[in-house]
Amino acid sequence: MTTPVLEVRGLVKAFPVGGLFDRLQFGKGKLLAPQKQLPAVNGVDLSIAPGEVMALVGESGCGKSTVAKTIARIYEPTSGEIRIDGEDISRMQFREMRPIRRKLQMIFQDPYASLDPRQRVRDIVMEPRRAQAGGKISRRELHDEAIALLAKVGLNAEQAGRYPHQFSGGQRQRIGIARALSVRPKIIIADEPVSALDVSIQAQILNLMMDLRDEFGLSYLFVSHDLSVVHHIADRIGVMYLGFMVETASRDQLFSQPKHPYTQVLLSAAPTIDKSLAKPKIEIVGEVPSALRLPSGCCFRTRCPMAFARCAIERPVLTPQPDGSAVVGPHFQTHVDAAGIQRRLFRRLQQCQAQTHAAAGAIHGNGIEACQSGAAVQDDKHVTEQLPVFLGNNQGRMVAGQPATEAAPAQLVDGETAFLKRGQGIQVIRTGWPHLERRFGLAHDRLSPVSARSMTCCPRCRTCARQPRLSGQK
Amino acid sequence: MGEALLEVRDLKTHFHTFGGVVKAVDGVCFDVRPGEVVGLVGESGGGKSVIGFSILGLIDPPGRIEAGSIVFAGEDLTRKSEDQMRAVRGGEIAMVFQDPMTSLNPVYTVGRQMDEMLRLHTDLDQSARRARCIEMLEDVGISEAASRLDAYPHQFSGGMRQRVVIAIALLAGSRLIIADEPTTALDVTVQAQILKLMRRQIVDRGAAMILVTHDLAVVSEMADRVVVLYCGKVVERGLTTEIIESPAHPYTRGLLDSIPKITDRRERLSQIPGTVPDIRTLGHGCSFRDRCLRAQAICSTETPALTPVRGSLDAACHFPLEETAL
Repeated sequence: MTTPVLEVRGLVKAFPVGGLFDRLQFGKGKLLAPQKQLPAVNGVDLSIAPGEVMALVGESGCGKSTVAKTIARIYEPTSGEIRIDGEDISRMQFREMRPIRRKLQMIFQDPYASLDPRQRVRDIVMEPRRAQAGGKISRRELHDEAIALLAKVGLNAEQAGRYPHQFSGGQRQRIGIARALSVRPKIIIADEPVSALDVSIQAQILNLMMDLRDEFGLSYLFVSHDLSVVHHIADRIGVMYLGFMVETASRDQLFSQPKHPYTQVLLSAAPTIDKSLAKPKIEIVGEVPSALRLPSGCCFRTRCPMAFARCAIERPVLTPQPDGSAVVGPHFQTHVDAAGIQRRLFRRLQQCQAQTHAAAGAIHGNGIEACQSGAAVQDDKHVTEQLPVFLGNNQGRMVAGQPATEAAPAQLVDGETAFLKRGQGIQVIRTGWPHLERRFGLAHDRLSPVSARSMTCCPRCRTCARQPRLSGQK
Repeated sequence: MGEALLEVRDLKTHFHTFGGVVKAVDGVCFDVRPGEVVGLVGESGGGKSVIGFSILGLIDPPGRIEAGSIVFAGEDLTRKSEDQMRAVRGGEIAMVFQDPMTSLNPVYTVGRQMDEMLRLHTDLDQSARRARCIEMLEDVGISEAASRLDAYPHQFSGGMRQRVVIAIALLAGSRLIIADEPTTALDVTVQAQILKLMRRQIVDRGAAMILVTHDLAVVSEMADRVVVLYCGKVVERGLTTEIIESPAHPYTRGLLDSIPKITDRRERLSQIPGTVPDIRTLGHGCSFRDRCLRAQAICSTETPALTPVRGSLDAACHFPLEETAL
């Protein structure tokens, strides 16, 4: 097996944040200013073989650009290994990095900001080459090489003497590509290289990048938020969310059988012009949480349609799948089960309502918002004033959990489980379990929202105006 | 078909710069009927945003509406005074801008900015206005609306801010919403939420929408009809389904083909050669001719007029494309 051109193990990058005044606090009678960290990348692994194109996709703030820039050592890695041709560069000094930069070059997103407006194009293109040669190259050679390179990216010799402002966005991106190529690198890190370009120009640049890959045997680490672009250029794809790699797979696997719920959501959310493959939209509400307050457990659980109690407790790790892809799991199998549980509970609720006329649950098109525990309903003597129920999470979807009994209350996580009075749908009564009352503020007859996350209200309840409404009601 | 709500006829908006006259919008015609979504599509420099600003009378010098009429509900907006236009903006016609970070005022609470709209365009009293704002925030999917009214825009995320902007646009019961790249600054999962919301809130209220975007995929999911712009001119217009399936103008074909598609095996993307020409130096003839594979001599001498081609499609091309067999 050949050595990967690039291998990254356990890459972590955290940025210090907050000004002095944000951080000031009193502790032990002293004024303290502890350093706050924003974890942008939380232990990313990846490896790229020679000639391979690996893409990182994700939404803004997921850390994909930070990974790219940390690999290029624009940012200092907090921890982890970065190997270029087997050589660890993560702790190298600036001077030691110089020969490495011959192998590793970068193309930037903004073709306007990444070129020096006061340099001529031929000087811009040859700057890395001149720096690498260290004065051992004549002007004549530099000039000839510049012309040859510009020809490769589709610009002519006459344009070599011009300044960047005389070019359009697409042409500037060609200049940026020529500059990266000037030292004949093995791998090019391309950070959103086409997202600032119009669609017809974008196609030109993507075609150019693929041609150059074939000609020079390049590898790319291609960072993009655009799934259709990634599908076109990548051999392998890594999906990132909140600084975590949640799934890596070959292009075909990822697009035909996405495994992680987030990947599925991402694929279904992308608008497409092709009606034949318009997938049913998986609905997801809310936005990416702040990295300063990472959710406990799985990073995606606050928006995941399949999340259940366990997701909040354990942080799943990327595990290889039988078909060679890797998905964040061990919850993965149980994620699937959660959907099954959800369906079973849904049927059960329908049966309960038919038999006992108890309206302890509210059903929406998307699933169950609140539902009686099967065990409690079957045993009618057990049904007293209190029915343990499962409630939806903050997306109006069922959060699967275990049936709760008084002896063994369900594992409560973030207020997603509460208790309903029989026949009254939404009214929450005293549970008789003080620790729960304290935790969810159940001292009143109505569940008052303790935090934005404990949303338990029924759609018919217009009286409690302060309560957040669940989505998917309309 | 019904009566058109908005009729734009031969609109010309030019910018008089030192480098020459920029004909950003040069003879654009289209209609918007009640309850429909019309997509204005094109690349940067196509003039699509300028059309939106022209309708609202927001063109500042050196720009000027040179000719044409914009008839909204029977009245020509280009003939209205600034005072009269102020009543139209936010009242009958509202706008949703691209960047939710900058289209809200950072020093006023969200509630105050929403209230302003109602204060100017309705005669509700204060408590009624507040109740209406709360209701509207809930309709656009913002939880805890009552307390959120007293929050400042920076306390909202990007998607939430865009929801607020949409809520403001809907407040006064406008009959036409102009949405200028409403989801371009948002992430794809949030974009899907916002598009669905706009579809539900705007169209279901019977209002019409002009959706200005560069993203054909968004248009294909949202719009009933599409107007394709290139260098300030309409090159093609028609029903979305027909344009997406089988466009008549080579530019539209090129745009559609250069979108990477998830169904294809990897091959070269078909690209439109060259770049958008400098709009100041356009002479006679078709402005797309230098990038068009079908161009012939007549294309550089005669400017093609927008003519019916087939079905609902009108195209400005001397050699329109045949219907592609499916």
